[in-house]
Formats: sequence, structure tokens, C-alpha cells
Amino acid sequence: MNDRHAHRPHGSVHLLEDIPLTLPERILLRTLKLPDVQSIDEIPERGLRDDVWRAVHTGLELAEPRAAARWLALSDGADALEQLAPELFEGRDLVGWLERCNRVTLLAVTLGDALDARVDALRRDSVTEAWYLDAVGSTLLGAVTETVGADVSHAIRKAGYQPTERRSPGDGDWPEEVQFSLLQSCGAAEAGIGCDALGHLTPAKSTTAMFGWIVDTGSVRL
Amino acid sequence: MSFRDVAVSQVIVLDGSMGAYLQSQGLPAGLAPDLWSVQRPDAVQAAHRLYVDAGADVVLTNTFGATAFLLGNHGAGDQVAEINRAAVRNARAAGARFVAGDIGPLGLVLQPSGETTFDEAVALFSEQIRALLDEGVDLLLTETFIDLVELRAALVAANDLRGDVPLVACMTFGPDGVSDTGVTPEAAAVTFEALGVDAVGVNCSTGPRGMLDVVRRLAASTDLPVAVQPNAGVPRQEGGRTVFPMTPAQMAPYYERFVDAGAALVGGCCGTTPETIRLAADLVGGRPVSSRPALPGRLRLASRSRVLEIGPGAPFALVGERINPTGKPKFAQALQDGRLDRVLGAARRQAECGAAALDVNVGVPGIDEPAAMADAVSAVQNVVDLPLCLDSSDLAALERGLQRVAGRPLVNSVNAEGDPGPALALMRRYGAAVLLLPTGDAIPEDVEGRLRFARHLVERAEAAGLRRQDLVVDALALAAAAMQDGAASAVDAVRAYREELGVASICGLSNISFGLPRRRLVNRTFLAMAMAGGLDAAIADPLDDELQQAAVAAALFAGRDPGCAAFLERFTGTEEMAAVVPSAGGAAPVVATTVQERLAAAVVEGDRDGAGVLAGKALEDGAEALEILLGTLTPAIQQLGDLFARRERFIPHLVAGAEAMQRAVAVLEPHLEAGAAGARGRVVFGTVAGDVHDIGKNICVLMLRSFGFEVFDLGRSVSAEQFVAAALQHDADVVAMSALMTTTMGQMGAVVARLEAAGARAKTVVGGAVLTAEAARELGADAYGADAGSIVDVVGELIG
Repeated sequence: MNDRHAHRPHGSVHLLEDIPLTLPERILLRTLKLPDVQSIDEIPERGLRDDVWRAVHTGLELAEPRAAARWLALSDGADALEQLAPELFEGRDLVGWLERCNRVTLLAVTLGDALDARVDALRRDSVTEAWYLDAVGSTLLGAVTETVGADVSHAIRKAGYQPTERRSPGDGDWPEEVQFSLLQSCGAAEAGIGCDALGHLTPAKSTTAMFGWIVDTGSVRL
Repeated sequence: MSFRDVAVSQVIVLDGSMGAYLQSQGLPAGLAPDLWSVQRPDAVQAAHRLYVDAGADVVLTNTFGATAFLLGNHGAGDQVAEINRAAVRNARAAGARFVAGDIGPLGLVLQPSGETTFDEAVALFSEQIRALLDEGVDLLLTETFIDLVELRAALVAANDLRGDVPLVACMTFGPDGVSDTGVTPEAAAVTFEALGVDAVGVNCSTGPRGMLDVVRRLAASTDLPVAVQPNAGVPRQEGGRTVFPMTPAQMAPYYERFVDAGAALVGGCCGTTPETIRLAADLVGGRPVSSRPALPGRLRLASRSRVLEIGPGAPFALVGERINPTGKPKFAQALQDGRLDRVLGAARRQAECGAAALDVNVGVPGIDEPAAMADAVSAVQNVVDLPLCLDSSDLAALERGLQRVAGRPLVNSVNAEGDPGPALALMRRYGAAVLLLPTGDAIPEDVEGRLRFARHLVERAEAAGLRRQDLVVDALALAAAAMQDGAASAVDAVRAYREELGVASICGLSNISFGLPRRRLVNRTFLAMAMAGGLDAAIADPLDDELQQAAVAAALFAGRDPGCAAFLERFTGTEEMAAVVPSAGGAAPVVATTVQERLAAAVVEGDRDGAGVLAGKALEDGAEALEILLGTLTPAIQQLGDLFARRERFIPHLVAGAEAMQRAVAVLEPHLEAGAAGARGRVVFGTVAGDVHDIGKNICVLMLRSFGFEVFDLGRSVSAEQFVAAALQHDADVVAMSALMTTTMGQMGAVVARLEAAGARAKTVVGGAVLTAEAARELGADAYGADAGSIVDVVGELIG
């Protein structure tokens, strides 16, 4: 992702591939609820350490990160939004939040379906190994989302705005049911991301998010 | 009267918040307040004047963020000196009795968590402090630090430059009295006192109520004056404004309580106003400082949260010796390969076995020892919370290690061979305690020789600015096989150190038995004799349980165990020469030898493949399946559960252990009569309709089965009707439901309602990523399962 997105705020879909893939070990260890170690190598039990490393290597091998993003200019009026995202902006808090924003960026990120398939296969043989790989997948997905989100935020700043925190369906009163509409609005299908009739994202290791663009206000220690 | 003289006799009042006032005067949002020292000196001076008029004895310069990195964010990174000097002039112009140079965190993360080196941090602080001192501040004051290592860098920088200017070290603690990086007030007090500060304190934090206990704990941990600068409670946002909940009148009563608790310096932090300070000054300003009993003046070490005292009357201290590559080829090879797994393994094992501190020696020929020492110190601190003893003859390695320590370490060692001055100066700079090795051009065999070298080293240490309570002298445990008299005289040396030099004693124990058989017997016998002579600590092997037992018993006669409390705690209820029990909470680890012991170990260690194989082997050896299940597997999984409860093992260990148990049970099952083992209860489990995420549920099912529950796993996306039918069919005690999405969470309420309507007796438990205890209550569930670690207890309690 780069600055060019900031100059085209009206919504062509950007497909992002070749996203750098790194695994934040501490987050993985927290996900696995191992609070006392800071790196996998510090896990004192050799068996557990080897299992976690194996899951990490498998996860890194199978993950194929991709993302789709689209920018909407809220100042262009409700009609344009209505066309693009008829059911997207629901929730009183969300609407209040949107009133502070000049634009929003919609985002969908995935690790692809190979990792899902491996977790499913492992589930039959070893709950433990399935859990480890699932946790690796969740951690990688979070890291990829952070990476893409940081690029989005950077682009927003370069455009002279302050990015808001990331929001996802299910946060606050933004209902999870908008998932389908959000996917459509940001062209997620181009990244291979969809959702089933129950609202589950497919592949499972996928996520969606929205960033707002607001005027920079800064802060000060009191 | 100097600041230092005043602080030990009467209460000094510091000022309050600066930022809010400057904002009220038009400081734009996002602009660093520090910049106004040069851009709007009139406003800064006016703020200081308000506090002086309110009765503040000390005003803090407007320099909380005036270091190069933070100023650089505002294009003023090259104006550090100008801004800091202007800030001092502004404070002085307000007519303050004392001007304190205010030093805040750098806004950078130090290694190993971040990229900034300790030396870089010292350089950044030094640039600011030099300017503050050049402009003539009366004292320096640090505040709002949460990272002990970063604050140590600030204090080292201040000490390098300040001469006789007083230094006050304040940091921030959370509502539980611990900083966000895990530092306790006790550990902070020990660390700061060792760095020669003039007062220690707490600022900001969670408001005055929570800080009162921190003040008490600081006052109980040091003889130095204690400072407190409370904020006006935890702020909240109202209509885009930051609002502090406590008024000056609400804060005022706490100032008297702070002084009663031992505070000698009181002021305010975020959200306080000149009115707050006026009330504080009226109530406690100039009041005599509360008297406190003097501390015993023992040597003290600290980790982030633990303090270890070494000296007469303190519990005997066993410093773990096992992080040392000498004579351990695999350990040395690991260090040469840059791997720390053996270091960390040794650290954890020694901590589990009750070591009071850990010696860290990474001296292997050919490696970058300074880098290895830094890495080892950081890594060990991450896995165990014990004070460290840095063991090297390489000053560069010691310095890198000292820079990484969060707390106060011991340095092992300085001897009288050559000039000990540079080594002692290094330890003084970093606030380390020092182990003095009384050897020089020769190794003395008699007491007089040891005492001569020891006296010389103590004098040199004092000349370098160290106190006797910063020192511990080695008894020189010489090998009895080679120097029998020399070995025995170590006991007399211990007495002499105490009586003639007034310093604590320690010995490297294992050397005493070098060259003899039954070394452990020799070690523990000598230890008991040396303790009778007054030995305060030993560097030894904490995995030697008999040695530890001897130390606990010897403490009974060495004045180190009042009321036999430690002995009774350890041995009450145990039999003489009892067999070694499974390791948990500090007991010695078991060496599994029989097949069933190995099977139990496989469950505890989560060895899933091994557990199945060993269960089969146990059957082949003739053991009954039921005996293996009840006599080996069940105690093993319960032991794992105990370790989990003590936070010595965590959920991944539980899950792997449960799966190992299940694999063993699968091997036993064909040999078990149906229902022979009984069951703790029947549980119907599934993810609710619409939810296909079942890993969490599968883990819970595994856990429950391993802990003796009969579980009927309905799978995923289970309808309310299916739940009810299964509950009735199996006469379930508990129906457990899992959901990962808020959209499916509501299904749980439907299941609860239908179970009730159908007259099912089953109680309900719900869990999953989106659930909270409150949501569980709203859904009508009987219980909430927070995670796989708690599910066994939750279901057990439901069944009763």
C-alpha cells in the first residue's frame, strides 16, 4: 500500500498482495495463554517448544496474505454511500463516530484457505496441534491486519488527516450482520474473501475493518 | 538550610500540574508544553508563581518531555539545552525556594524490548541534565517512569553529572501497587537507594487512595525520605475534555495520611491545581517528618519485584550456581551457538527449587561475552523473578549485564589482584552490590590472610563510594582434598569478617568437595558448619534437595529462623527421609525411573506420543489397566492441574497434558470394564446453532474427559432442540455451550430457556471468545467458563 490511495478517495478497489508476513512471538504466546515467556525459545518444556515451532513453520508456509481496500468519501453525500453500502453504516454510536470522519477506508484481509484446511485436518488427529496452528493463524492474521492497517494509517496521515482507531463489525454497536455489505463494499471477493449464509468469513482466517479519516487534533499531558 | 537538610526534618511541599494550566492559557493541542519555556515564558512563570503563592517550597521545571527525542517530534530536538535552561530561569523567576529539574521518560523503549541502548538512553538524559545543572537547579527529580531499566539510566546519567546536587527518584505504580512493568515499591526502593538517590517516591498513578499503600511500602523499605505526588484520580473524557474526578478538598485529607505514612515530600500530579497545593501546604507544610524505625542495614538485592536480604538475622540465602558453562560442554556449546535454552532451563529449574538468587556466568572462550551476558540477563529476567548475581572477570561483560538488570544485582567478584578501583567504580556507577574475593597475589589458606585481603578490598570499596552494606566477602571454600586446614579455616574467616569488618559473608560451596567422593555429603556438612559460624549465603546447587534441607535445619541454630517458622513450614507433615514427591511449588524434581513414573511424567510434560506408548508398555509389564488409570494417570493430570493453579504451568501445558492422558486412556480402554473408573458427572457439550468454530469447545471436552467427566460431544452448530434432546437422553448434569460470534451468542439463551421448559435438570455453562461473565448472567446460564483452564473447576462446582 502507498500514498496513491489517499489521492483516490472515491472508491476503486485496491487488491493488496505480497504483504510481508512476520509472526509476533509475544502475541502468539499470549494467544496460547503462556504469560511468562517472551519468545518461543524461552518455553522451558522442550516438547511444547517444538510443537509451537512446528505450528509456526506450518503457518508461515501455508499463509497467503491478501487484502482488499476501498476508500469512501463521506463528504460526497449520502447518495454515493447509499449506492455503495446500503446497509453498512448501522448503529447509533457508529453513526456518531462517522460524523467526525471526512472519509473512511474499508478493508478486508485474509490468510487464504490452505491454513484453514490444515487446521481442519489436524483437528481429527490432535486437538493440541490444531489449537497451536489455529493460534498461529490468528496471530498471523492479526499481524497482517496490523501491517495493512499501518499502511492505511500512513496513507491517511500523508493526506493530511488523522486516522481513527480500527473498527470492525461487532465492535460497539456496529453489528456483525453488516459483514456481507462490508465485503461487497470493499471488493473483498477480489482477494478471495467471502462469507457464508451465517455470516462466517471464508476463509476463516480473514477479517474486516474500517478506519476513519479525521482532522488532526493532537494531545497533551495534563 | 539546604534541601537535603530540610527533607529529613520537615515536610516539603512540591507544586502540582503544569500542562492543564498552560492549556488554559492557550497552549495548542498537540504542542509540547516544554516549548513554551522559550515561546511563552510569561505563561510558564505565571504557573510557577501560582504554586509558589499557594505555598509550594519546590517548583518543578517545565521539562518533563525536554529530551532530544521528544522535542525532536516537534522540530526542536536541537534545542534541548536552550529549552531546559529557559525552564530553570522561569522557575527561578517565580521566586521558588527550591527549583527541581524535572526529568520524565524518553518516549523510547530500551533494549531488549526496543532498540534504544542503555548508553543511548544515558546520553539523552545527560544532555537534559547537564543543561538543568548548568542553569543551577537545586535538585533533580524524575517522575512518571514505569520501566525500572529506563529509570536506572536516568539515575546513572544524573549521578555522572550532579556532584552534590540532590536527586529524587519517583516512579508510577498501578492500582495493585505494582508498576506496569512489574516493579514493586520495595524493589524500586532498594534499587534507587543503591544508586545513591536522596529520596524515593511515587507520582501520578491512580489517585491518592491507591498511592497511600505505596507510600507505606516505600517508607518500610528505605530510610530515605519518601515523596508522593498524587494525581486527582483517574481521568475520564467528558464532551471531548479530560476531567479528573477529585477536587482539591477531596484530596486534602490524604496529605495528612501521606505524612503519617512516612512521606516527607508532598505535591501533586495530573489534575491537581494551586488550590490543591494550598490545602496541602496549610495541612502539612513544615510539619516534622514522621519518625520511622531504622532498617537493619543488611545487604539487599532486588529483581523487578523481589528483595533479597543477606546478612545476620536474615534467612540464609542460596544463590543458584547452575547457569555456568564450566565443565559443561553442551552448555558451553549452546552459548557458542548463541542459544539460551540451557541458560533459561537452568534458571527456571533453580527458581522452581527455591533458589533465592541466580548466579549468571556465560564465560566461554571465543564468544562475545558482553553480548552474551546482556542477552542472558534479559532472558533470565523474563522467565524468573529473582535477583541476579553477575559472574564474570570481564568488566565489559559486567557492564553490559549491569545495564540490562531490572533491579539491583550482586557482582561476582572483585579481588585484590591488581587495582580493584575500576571494577569498584563500575559497580558504584550502576548501584550493584559487590562480592569481594579475598585473594591477591596468593590464595590465603589461613584466616589472617583472608582477613588482610578482605580489609584491603573493603577499604578500596569504601573509597569508591560503596557502603559496607553493599559488600559481601567470600569465605574462600578451598578444596578439602587439597588443603584440609585451609578449608576448615573458612568457617573462622566468616566469623572474622562479621566481627572485625562488619560485612556479610558468602561462599562458593561446591569447591569444598572438589576431588572427593560423595561431594553432596561433604557440601552439606560444610554448609551446616559454616552457617554455625555465621555464613550468610552460599552459591550452590539448589537442585540438591538434601543440601537445602540441611540449610533449613542449620538455620534453626544460626539465628535465622525465629520460631522455627521456616522449618515447620517446610517439614510439617513430612516423614523422616520421605521419598521425593512430584515436583510442584519449589520441591525437588523427580527423576522418573519406572514405566509408570515415566507415563506420569509424559502426561505432566504433554508428551502425547510417549504417553500412548508408555501406557501400552505398562500393560505389557503386567499392570492392571484400572490401576494405571487411577494410580498413575489420574494423579498425574491432577498434579498438572495443581501446577496450573499455582501458575507454574499454563493452558497449553494443560491441553497437551490432557491429550497425552487421552491417548494413554485410549490404549487402556479395551482393557477397562465399562464404567469401571466411574465418572465425576455427565456433560453435554456443543457449539450453538450457527457457530462452526469448535477448537475451544474441543479443548474443553478434552480437559473434562481427562479430569474424569463423561462428555457427550454434540459437535458444532448444534440446535437448541438437539441440546435438549441430548440432555434428557443422557440425564446430563451439565450442558455446556460455546460460541465465538456475537451473532450466535443469543442461541445460548434459547437453549437455557428450552432446557427449563423441557424440565431438564442439567445446569448450564457458557463460554467462548465473545462471552463475559455478565453476558452469561444475562443469558440465564448457571455459570461462565472463561477458558479451557477453568472449565474443569466450573463444571465441578456446578455438579457439586
